[in-house]
Amino acid sequence: MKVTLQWLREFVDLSTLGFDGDPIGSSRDERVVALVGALNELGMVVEGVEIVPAGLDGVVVAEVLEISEIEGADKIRLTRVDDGEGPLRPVVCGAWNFQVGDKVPLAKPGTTLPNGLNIGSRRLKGVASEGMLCSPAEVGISLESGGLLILDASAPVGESLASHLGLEDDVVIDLAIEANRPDANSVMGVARDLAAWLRVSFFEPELVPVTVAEPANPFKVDSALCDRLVTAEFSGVEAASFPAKLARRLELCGMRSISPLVDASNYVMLEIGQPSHPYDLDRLSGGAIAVRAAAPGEQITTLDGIERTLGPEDICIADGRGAPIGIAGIMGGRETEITGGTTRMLLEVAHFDRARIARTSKRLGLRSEASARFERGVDPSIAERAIFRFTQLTGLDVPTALVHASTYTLPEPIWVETRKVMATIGHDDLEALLAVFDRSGPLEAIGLDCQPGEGGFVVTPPLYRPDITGPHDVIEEVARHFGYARVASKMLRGPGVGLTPVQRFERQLRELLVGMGFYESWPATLVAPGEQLDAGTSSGWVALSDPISALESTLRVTVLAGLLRALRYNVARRMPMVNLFEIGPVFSQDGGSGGLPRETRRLAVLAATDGDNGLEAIGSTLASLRDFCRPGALRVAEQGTIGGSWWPSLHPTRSCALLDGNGSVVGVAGELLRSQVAGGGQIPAEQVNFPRYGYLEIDLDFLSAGSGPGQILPPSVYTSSDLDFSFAVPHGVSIMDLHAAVSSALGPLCQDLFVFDRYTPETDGDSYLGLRARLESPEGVIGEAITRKLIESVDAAAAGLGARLRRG
Amino acid sequence: METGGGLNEAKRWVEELVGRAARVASGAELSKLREAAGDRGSPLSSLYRSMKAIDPALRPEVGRQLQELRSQLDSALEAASAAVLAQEVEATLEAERDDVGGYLCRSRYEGIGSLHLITMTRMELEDIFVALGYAVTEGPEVESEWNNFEALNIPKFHPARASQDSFFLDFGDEESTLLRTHTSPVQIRLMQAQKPPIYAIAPGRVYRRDTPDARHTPAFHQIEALVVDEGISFANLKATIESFTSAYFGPSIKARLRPAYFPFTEPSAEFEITCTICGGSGCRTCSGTGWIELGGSGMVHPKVFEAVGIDPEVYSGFAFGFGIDRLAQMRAGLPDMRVLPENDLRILAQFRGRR
Ligand SMILES: [Zn+2]
Repeated sequence: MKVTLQWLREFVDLSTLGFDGDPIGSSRDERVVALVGALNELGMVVEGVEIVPAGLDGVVVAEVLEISEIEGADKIRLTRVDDGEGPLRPVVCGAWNFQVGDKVPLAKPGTTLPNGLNIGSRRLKGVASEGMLCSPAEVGISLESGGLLILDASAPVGESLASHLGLEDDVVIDLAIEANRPDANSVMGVARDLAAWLRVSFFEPELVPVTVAEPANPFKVDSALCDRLVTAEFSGVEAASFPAKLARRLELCGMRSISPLVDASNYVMLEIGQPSHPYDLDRLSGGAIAVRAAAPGEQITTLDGIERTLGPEDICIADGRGAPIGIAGIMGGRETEITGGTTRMLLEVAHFDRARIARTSKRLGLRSEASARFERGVDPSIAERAIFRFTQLTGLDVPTALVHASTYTLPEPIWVETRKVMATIGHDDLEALLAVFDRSGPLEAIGLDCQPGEGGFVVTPPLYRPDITGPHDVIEEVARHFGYARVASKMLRGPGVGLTPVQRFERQLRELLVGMGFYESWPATLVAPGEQLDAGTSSGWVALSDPISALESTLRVTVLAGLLRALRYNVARRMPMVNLFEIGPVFSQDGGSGGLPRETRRLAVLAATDGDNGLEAIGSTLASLRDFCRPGALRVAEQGTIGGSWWPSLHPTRSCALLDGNGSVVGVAGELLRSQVAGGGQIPAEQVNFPRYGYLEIDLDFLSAGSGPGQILPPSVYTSSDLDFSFAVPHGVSIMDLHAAVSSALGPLCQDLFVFDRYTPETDGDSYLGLRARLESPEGVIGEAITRKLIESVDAAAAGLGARLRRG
Repeated sequence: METGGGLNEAKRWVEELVGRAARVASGAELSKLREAAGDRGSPLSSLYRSMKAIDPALRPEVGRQLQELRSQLDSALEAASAAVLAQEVEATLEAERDDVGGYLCRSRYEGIGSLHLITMTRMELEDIFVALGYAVTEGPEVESEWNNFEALNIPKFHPARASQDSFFLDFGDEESTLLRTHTSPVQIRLMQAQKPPIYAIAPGRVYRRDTPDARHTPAFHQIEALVVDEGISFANLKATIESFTSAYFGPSIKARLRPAYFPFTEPSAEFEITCTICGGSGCRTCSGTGWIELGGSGMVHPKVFEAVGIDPEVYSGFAFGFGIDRLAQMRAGLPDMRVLPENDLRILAQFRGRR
């Protein structure tokens, strides 16, 4: 919402801020800074300040005394004008909308116009021209540039144009008005708030007396849709005028100056916040309007020329025959639009249901200055005032305002406890705080009637503050007009529980992965269906109902669906060593609770190595993670048994499922298929030489729920012994199983057991596996007898799996 | 018997050997020298063997001189041995010479990884609030329309819904589930799950249907603070925002509140901080005002308490929230936020070593 300083000054005395008549040079002017500060502190945030001087020094009223042809020119003519300074001035002019005797603006040589144009003396087609005759656009009062600005016949020749039109230096202030301040969508409302804050006078505008009457045959109004309708008929409207000074204000506030009638209607809306709509009475069937719900499918062509279909939710303005002629509160219809030829006019001033206007405007995608105001709330009592002001601005004959409907209700009084005011704001100087309730204090100045009672106040808000419905709304006004900056801060501390063990674990996990060389990635939670398929899930994902792009149209079921994008992005840029990790959510249709999709958090790790082995790359990560779980809590199932639609599918013969102690799948680990990385040609052919990638995705709740390793045990003081076992392992026996069997055969003496040698022959047949055990006993050096016994147990355990311990 | 000839000969022999010892340059030369020194036929050995034949009166003097020659020779051999050893060590070390630069001049992408810039910022913010006595909580990114809007006093067709254009999901009833548009639904979850006192922050990811630009991505991060207890006032809110501001930005950065509107708080306030670029004197970043808008705040609205079943006659509270991404962007001088969803390693690697 834009307001101008001079407009505001018609309503509020700003002399306390130092505004007098002195020109304002810049937005750094201390008076402007003070004004901006006051508006900001009131919550009407200033988003821009523009200094707009009238800029018309050297432009004067001149009378056209002669017009003559120029030889060889058919677009321009030579005029001789009287500018009151003696000899007539020759001025060449390209406009045709004037005649001898007209008063027009003359920009004398040496003048710079508001649009930056420098005017000099020059010769055109051999004829001298001393200055320029100006259009409304050239003197900055409207965008109209079709012809010269014709001034009234009484304009004194030689007077400066600015003083003749009353144009002033001004400051345009762009305000962000919050949704709970419908009153501030008008110059008057901003001025009222400002006057209350500055504790200075607010001037109610002077009004012309208009007769208000009840019509004999009131228009039909559905009171559920419209609780106020006042109209006025005007005749002879072709004679309407609108002051140039005010047209300039409209332009400065971002509205086009169109015609005196439309300008006056718009000016009233910006000034007092009441939209109105003019109809050409001669084009209005039956000379009447009605307010009703639209019929389903009813059609209307709005002022912007677009045909729109209405429904029963929409409020429709109908004519005397009942045909739709406008969308109430949003936009009028083309059929009854006023034109240059209009002589009789009906002005509609109404108050419509807020929610309906909001819904219709949203559904049609049609927001107008009027709908924005109706949506937020217009004072239903100011319809007559709008008509008074309209009449005053246009200079038309004073009409009778007819009140067809007036069923709005008055605001309820609100009981506001002093105790609650204190408790909510928390400012200890109670006397200072409660002073805002004083007679002629700021609350009263913004229209809140405050009657003191026992331990509180009965506060009745004005009609222009429909947002104030409860004590907390009043308390906000108390705080606002007391001043947020004046409230004394009071330090507060919480009970200090710190991070939870799970949160500390998560941080530790992140630091661990960073230390292992992984970069944390930005979770791509919105992915393309193709990426879900590439990650190995085929269904079960949740889609957005109205995505911006297909690339971000579904919620990932697996982290891999999102990470594949990062992987391909980097590989395509010849950065193949992609080591990424992520802790983030995955989503699926099934398995959720509370009416929501299933959402769980997972850790995912994508690992590259120089070698051509993705398992090598992920193995050490997985081994490190196992130490975060209770011993034995994380188990690894046979390769290729990955199941469940919410886990990614990896290389079928180079991957495994991760199981919890109950055998449920809590993750997957393995190698990505080369086709998963390549992603259907997204990576240029010359970059297909990427390494193999290891991948791990595991449920975060599983990891963080584990209590971690147990108590720390002191190592044995006796010398340890290493025992190397060599096994012949037939095809189909898993190393994980063999390792587990040997470990349990060795029992508690075994402090460490790991693969130290592997050999897989080219031909079918047994592979060879070397396991090294470190044995320690707290009771003494492990003797030969025990060693022999252990070897026998290992032999038996291996045999149980079909493997053979090689001895000798 | 005449002894002078033998003694002189032994002296000359020892002198020659001592001279050779001083010039020994290798282990092999040292072995030869030791061999020569131990030669039983050497003048020195011969003289020892002929001692008995020497005039007993002269014997002590000859013996003393012989002893002296012997020890001259021994110490020369010892010195030569030490020199050879030192030379050998030196040669070995020289043979092991390498240039450390060969190991330091590595790819900038090698080595440790990094936390994400957003994570670093979020953790720092968490730490500040933990120090102020707050718990850290989280909620889901997919939310019900009720938690995200209704319970926060944002009914259907409320203008605040339009400003938070949402990604609704094809799930359940039409427009019943969405990607949360702010972290405020975590407030609702907290108040439903826990009786006051509540002192908590909720950092997390939120989504809005905005066109991405240098400062916005459709997914971004917020942090929300909620306090519900007896006797909580606007003055407490103000102090909390002030202490957070000085803890995070330093004591020279001030905070101020100005009236604003949010459906779920009243009184509501927008909070601004001194522009960190110009320190308050006015620059392009702050549009010349000296202040930067950081987030929204206010006293929890009675309708929100009503929605979660907390008695507003007993308890009051405040909430505030702000974007994490903007702080992260300021911290790293990242010109365009749109690079983050790409996960370009060339960007991620630049997060290493940041504090
Ligand atoms: Zn600045």
